[in-house]
Formats: sequence, C-alpha cells, structure tokens
Amino acid sequence: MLKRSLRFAAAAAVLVVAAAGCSSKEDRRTPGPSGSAGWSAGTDEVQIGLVAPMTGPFAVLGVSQQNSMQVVVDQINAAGGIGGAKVKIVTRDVGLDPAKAVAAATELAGDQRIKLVVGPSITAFYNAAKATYEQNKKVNCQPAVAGGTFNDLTYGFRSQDRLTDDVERILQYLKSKNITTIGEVYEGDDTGKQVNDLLKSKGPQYGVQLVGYEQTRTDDQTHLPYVQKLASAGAIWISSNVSGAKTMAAAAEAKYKGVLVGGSGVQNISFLEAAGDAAAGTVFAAPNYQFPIRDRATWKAGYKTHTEAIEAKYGVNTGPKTGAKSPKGTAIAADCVYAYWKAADAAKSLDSAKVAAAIADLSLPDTETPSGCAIKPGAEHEFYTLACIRAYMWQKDGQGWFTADVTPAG
Amino acid sequence: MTHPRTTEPLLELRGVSAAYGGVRALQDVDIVLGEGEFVVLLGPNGAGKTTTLRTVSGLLQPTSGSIRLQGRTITRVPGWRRTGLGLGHVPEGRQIFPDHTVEENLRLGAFAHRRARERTQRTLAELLELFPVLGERRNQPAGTLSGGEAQMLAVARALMSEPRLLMLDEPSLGLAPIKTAELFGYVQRLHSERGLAVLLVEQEALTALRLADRGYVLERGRVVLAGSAQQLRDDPRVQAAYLGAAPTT
Amino acid sequence: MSIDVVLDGLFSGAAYALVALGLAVVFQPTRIMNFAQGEALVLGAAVSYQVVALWKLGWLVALVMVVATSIVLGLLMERLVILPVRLSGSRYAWIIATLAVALVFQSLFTLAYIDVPALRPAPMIGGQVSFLGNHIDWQELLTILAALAVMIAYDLFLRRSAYGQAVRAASHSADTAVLMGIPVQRVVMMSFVIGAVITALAGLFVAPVIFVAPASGLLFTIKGFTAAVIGGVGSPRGALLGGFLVGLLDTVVRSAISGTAGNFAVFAALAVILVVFPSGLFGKPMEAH
Repeated sequence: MLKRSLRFAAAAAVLVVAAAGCSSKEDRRTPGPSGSAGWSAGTDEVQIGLVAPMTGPFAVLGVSQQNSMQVVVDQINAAGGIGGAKVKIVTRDVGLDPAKAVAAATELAGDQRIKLVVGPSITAFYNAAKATYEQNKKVNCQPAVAGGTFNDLTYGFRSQDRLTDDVERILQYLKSKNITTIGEVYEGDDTGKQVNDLLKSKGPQYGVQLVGYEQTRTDDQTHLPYVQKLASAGAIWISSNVSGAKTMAAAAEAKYKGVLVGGSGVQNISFLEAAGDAAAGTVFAAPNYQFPIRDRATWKAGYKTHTEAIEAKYGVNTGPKTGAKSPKGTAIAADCVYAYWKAADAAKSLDSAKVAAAIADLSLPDTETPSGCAIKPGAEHEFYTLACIRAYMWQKDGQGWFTADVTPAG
Repeated sequence: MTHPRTTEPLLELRGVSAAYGGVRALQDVDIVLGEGEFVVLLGPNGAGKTTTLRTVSGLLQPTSGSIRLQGRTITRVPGWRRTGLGLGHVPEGRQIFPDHTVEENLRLGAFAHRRARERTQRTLAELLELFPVLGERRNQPAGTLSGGEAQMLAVARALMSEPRLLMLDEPSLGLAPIKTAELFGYVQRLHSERGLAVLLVEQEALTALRLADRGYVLERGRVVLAGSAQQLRDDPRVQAAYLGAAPTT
Repeated sequence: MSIDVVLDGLFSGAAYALVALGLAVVFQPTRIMNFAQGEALVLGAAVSYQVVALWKLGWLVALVMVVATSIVLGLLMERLVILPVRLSGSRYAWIIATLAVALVFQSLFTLAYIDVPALRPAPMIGGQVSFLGNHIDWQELLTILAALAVMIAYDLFLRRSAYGQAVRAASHSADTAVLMGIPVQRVVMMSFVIGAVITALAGLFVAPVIFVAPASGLLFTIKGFTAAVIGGVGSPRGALLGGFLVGLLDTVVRSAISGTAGNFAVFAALAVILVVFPSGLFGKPMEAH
C-alpha cells in the first residue's frame, strides 16, 4: 500500500515537472522501500528503448539489434542489474516509416523510465529525431547511423564505423597492393556522394586517384555499362546496398581485372546470395567482424562470448542459396547497452547528463566489449577508432564462404 | 406468304422489358415471328428497335419477360451460345472486323461451328458464289471495302452460321440507293428461295413494308401498332409518321 | 561503347518486350493496362529461384512450375481485376484494380522472400559465347532468342488459329464478337493467362542475369509499359520493337553518358515517337469506344 502511494506520488511529481517544461532528474537517492541493493536504490527498473524496423523488408536489422541488446541485458541482470535496478528493453516497431520513427523517438524521449534509446536507424530518421533527444536530455546510442557527426551532441553517441574510417582503411589496403586508381559505382545519394568526396580528398595521401563516379539507378538491370566504363581502374568502390551486388555480378561478367571494395554493409550475406560466386575477392572495411573467420581461437574474447550467446539463444541466419551464415545479432548494438552499463556504474548515477559524460570518458578494451572493438568515445562521441576498422576479403572454398582479415600491418 | 404452318413460332418475345443502366429501353414488348416469315420493326430513333435485336441476341439481358427461339426458352442463354442456335444478327453499322481479311471475317461468322470444317467450307463457297464481289476481295483486309461491299460482308458473315432467322439492323444506312436496292435484292432472294426468316429494322419504311409480310411499330419502348404489311401501309398514323418522310421511289 | 553494350541492351530489351507483350495480350480484348503485369515476371523469377537455387531440381522442373503457377496467377488476376471493374461501372476502375493487385502480389513476394534481395538462380547454360570478338552470356543470348520465339509464336497464334482470330475480333468489338458466337469472357480470361505465362517466362529467363527483387514488379511494368506505348499499345510486333528500342536506348546512352541520361533518353524518345506516331510505331489509331 505504501509502495503504491509512493509510486503514485513519484509519477505525479514527474508529471508536474514535465508540465513545467523542464525535464526531471531521476537522480532520486531517497532510499525507497523496494529494497534494491545497489547505488540505484529507489529505481526498480531501467528501461532501454529500441526504435527499429521489426517487420517489413528491414526487419533483419531491428531483430538483430534487439537480440544483441537482449543478450547484454541478460548479462547485466544476471550480474545484479545496473546499480541494482533490473534492465528491460522496450521496442517500438517503426518499419521504414519516417513519421512512425520520429513519433516513437519522441515518445521514448519523453518517457522518464527510459534511460537509453537505441535508434532510429538510418541517418535521415535520426537527423529528424536528435533534437528531441537533446531537448529531453535523453542518452542515445546509434549503431546504424552512418552519416553526419556526433561531436556537437551532448547525449548522442555513435556505435558504428564512420565512413571516413572505412574509406581510409580501404585506401590503406589499396596502397599496400600498389593499386593507384579507383572508380566508384554507387547510388547518387548522400552516402554515394560522401564516399566520392572522401575518395577524392583522402586518396592522394595513399597514392590513389579517383577516376570516375558512376551514379546508379534503382531500375538498373545490370551494372555492366558502369563497370565497362571503369574497366581500367585498379579498384571499384561498390554500394553497401543491394545494388553493390549488381556491380559484383557485372564485374564478373565483364571479367573486370581489378578489386572490388566497399564499406561495412558488404559484410551482409545478402551480397553473397544476390551476386553468388561473383562476390569472391571483394574487400570491405568493417568494425571487427570475425564471425566468417573460421578459426574461432582468433576471435576477441568479448566478441566470442557475445556471438556464441547469440548463436545459442537465437541461432544464425543462413543464406538459402549459398549456405553462408551470419549471427542473428549485431554486436555494435550490444555495445550501446554495454557502454551504458559501464558508464552508469562509473558515474554511480542514472542522471542523463552524468551518464552521458561518463560514456564520453569510457575507455573499454577490445577484449571485453561485445563487438571486439575498444570503446573510447571521447569528445567526438564516436565509440570506435580507425584501429578497430578492419579490411576483410570474402572468399569461398569447398566448405562455403568465409573471410580473411587482409588489413595491412602497421 | 401468310402465317406459318408450324404451331411453334420461330421467335417469340413475351412481355420483354429491358433497360440500359437505369434507363428503360423496352417495356412489355410482345413480338412473334413465324418460320420463314419476313417481319419489319418500324419506329423513330430511340424507340427500342435496336434494343429489341440486342435483347434477342443476348447482348442485353431483359429485366423481365421471356424470349423463345424454336420453342426453346433462351432468355438466360449467354449471347455467344445463341449464334449456334440459329440466330444471325447483322448489327447496326455493319461492324465488320477491318483488320481481318474478307475470308477471315466470314470464317469468324462460323466460329460456333468451327469444328465442322466441311460444313464451313461448303457454306463459305456458297456465299462467295452468292456474293461474287466478296469472292473477288477474299484476301483483302475488310477495312478496304466500300460501304456496300462491307454491308454485303456483314450479311454474308451472319449467314455463315446458317441461321434460321436473320436479324438486320438498318442495313441501308449510309448506302447509295442503288446499293440499298442491290442489298435488299439479296435479302429478298434468301427469304423467298431459302425460306430464311428475316427480322428487319429499317428507317426506309416504304421499302421495308414492300418486302415484309408483317410489321410492328415501336415507340418509346412499347409496341404501339402491329399488323400485316398492307395494314400498316394503310394506317394513317404510319403514313403520317414514316411514309411521308420516306424518299419517293 | 562496344558491341557488348548493344547485346546487353538487346537482352534488357528482350525482358521489356515480353512484359510489353503480356500487357498487349491483356489490353487487346479488355482495354485494360494491367499494372500488375510485372508481378508475373517476379513470379517467374521466384519460382525458378525456388526450384533451381533452393530445391536444386533443374531448369526443366522450373519451366513446368513457372508455366503452371503463372496460369494460376493469370486466372487469379482476371478475377481480381475484372470482377471489381464490372461491379464498379466506373471507366477508370481498372486503374485502382490493377494497382491493387500489383501491391497485393508485391507484398506476398516480399513476405515469401523477406531476406532475398535478388531472386537469382544459376544460369541455364553457364559461360559465354564469342560473337564478333565480343562475349555474351549464353543466358543473355538464350533470353533474346526466347523473346523472339515467344513473339513469333504469339503472332502466328493470333493470325492463324481460329482462337487467335477470335481474340483479335473480341479486341475490336466485344459485342460483335459475341454475335459471332465467340465466348468473349473466356477470351478475356485466356488473355490474362497467356499474358501471365509470357511475362513469367521472361522472369524465368532473365532471373539468372539481372536482379529481380521480390518487390520489383512495378519497375518492370513501367519499363514494359513504355515499350508498349512506343511500339503501339496492343500490337505484339510493336511490343517487340518497343522493348528492344527501350533496352538499347537505355543501355547505350547509359554507357555513353550516365545512368540518369539513360532514362532521360528513353522518355525523350517516347515523347518524340508519340508526337510523330501518336499511336506508337505499330499501333492503329484508337477508335472511340
């Protein structure tokens, strides 16, 4: 009875504060009757929001994020919760509807029980939501927002490879192979243009010259004309979307002699499904992704634990045609929850400003994190540094598809 | 020729009403036509003459009433099946298929009997003999025919299914008088020599009444007058409304 | 630019031509431009992907299955399009009806192949064939030949067979066709079936080469529609010519200039052709109906 009336009072207080136009501080240290043992006594539950497509063509993304986050949540709860409070994930399925994505982000941003929001995915959706997060002082972490910067945000963090790092890693690889020219076959969208700018500006540092940018269309039946125009280039940067697979197929058909390269999207086994054998030899840059490396002994410890937990709990995706496998999780989303946990513990607080500052100050070693990448956000609010972005090459043998880490030494 | 000897009329419409959308086109129409009889339908534009023929052919479903052909009720028989039952319909405006050759047009007329190749072949030969101009143009696209030739083709095509009853919808429309005379010559021959029953819709009432045994006058979807050709010719109302306007010959 | 590009254009053109032919086959007796036509192509690709890539049963089984499923698809489409059109009475009901059918099948294909970005089985005949010092995939050559064969076969059917004559008659005037004893409703149903089979065959042939996504039906409909309009709506020969024209123009301009220029060229050509030949290259002026 007492518990109930206390809760009611707390809820009423939240309402009053919210109505007054300022956000409440959840840093109530008053010892409550709930009996939580840790520093967060008084808060029964920490909720983590996920705004993602759970149905529709991009459901794979949302489901993978949810799975990976859940594995870490289980781990936290098993370890006694965050400062004693149990953790729970609240999911909002927004499909690919920008209006729903923004509405869900706004809802979760305004909900004081939610301490961390992951999503919405896709740069454009996030751009529409991030001001609301800042206003509501909502700590948020983005594992699927490739574009833009985070250094101007107080509460937003990115747990994804930056395009600039992908490009640098690939350029480094090309330099090590004495390849001096590169072309680009990509949609004429923001990402395609950004890659174009980066190749142009960073290429010369690695002795690589950009020789052309063929903008593709969604209704292209084949990319043969594009590949033929770039036939003399030593490398071609392909799209991280399905159309990248079209470029792979066209390169095989045209007997292209150079190497195909791309960003972290190319790790998706749907490329193998779509392009078939033509995908072999493609090099992509991505944050630590050791799953297709067969020798598990070489996997980073934290990554191995996380990935094997995903396999045990959710299984693996198997390409129906190629038999290629990928885990039903995405470790960079797990990093969001993991980093929040570690930061809140360090700050001994659930106060958003304090946690946000603590996340920025984190320095977690790559052996410990679910992704296998060191987390060191700093003022940039970027979880990962170039060191963690590796170059991998898709390969195939009698046992199926696998990757080799082809990152040049040094 | 007088009334048919057979007890069962060839075509019998009893209390037929029909409508286009919500618009009444026929109301309680009774028409009887005996075996080998030549009957003409007269009336002003929009009286329901064409609608009557379309209802008989099954292009329009009556809202009430019954249609019997050779003693069999065909009210619910789909239109495309009626052709094989002895009904030939030369529609308003001829409606030949311009991209098909003359011969293809004729063969389409026998579509209902397309499996009976010999019969089709025989009928085709007969008709090409009857209409020599069609024989000459046999392999020409029908779209290249003159108006008179096209009307011959339309009649011949309707005859390909070897009907017992030939329905003609204003065949003289748009034809020079000499061509009209030639056409009616053919119709007359088919009627008298082969005993083909004819239901004719015609604006040229005088010509029509000269050919026909009997006639009906339709106005606003109703039969307002029926009788022998002679009776109609002598009726002052018919004289005033139709014969006066008809071209003098 | 090389002969490669021309061959590639002809190959794309073959796919468009078969979609355009499917559109023409349905349009002839119904005057309906079936926006769901492209779904038949996706069906052809999906069935061959399922049979060849996943069940590993070979192309002959795929061919039989594609024909069988597309017959069912054609029958379904006929019901789903014609019934609402008849019941509605609006002249434009077909637009919504066919679009709705397209979206229904698009959703079904997306659900069935949710993680499959492209329904791409291995080619029927692998490898390439040399041609004037250039190379063309066997599969592409096969597709071009198949398109030609289907086109000739359909043209012969229309001109020589009694049923084909009936289809042409029904397309000129349904009422007059009924007077000939032609079961026009059955002709319409058959046209949906033939159209679906032809377009599904296109899917079967092109799937190993191009990327047919489960939701890409409308994309192919639009290409086929452009080809059909250029060639003359309702004319099978026009569909063939229009298809090859669209494929060639798009591919050649795309490789000579850029992707966007390819689309521009196609639509510019469409505009010019419609000014010079208002009813398309092979079309006849349409009478008022």
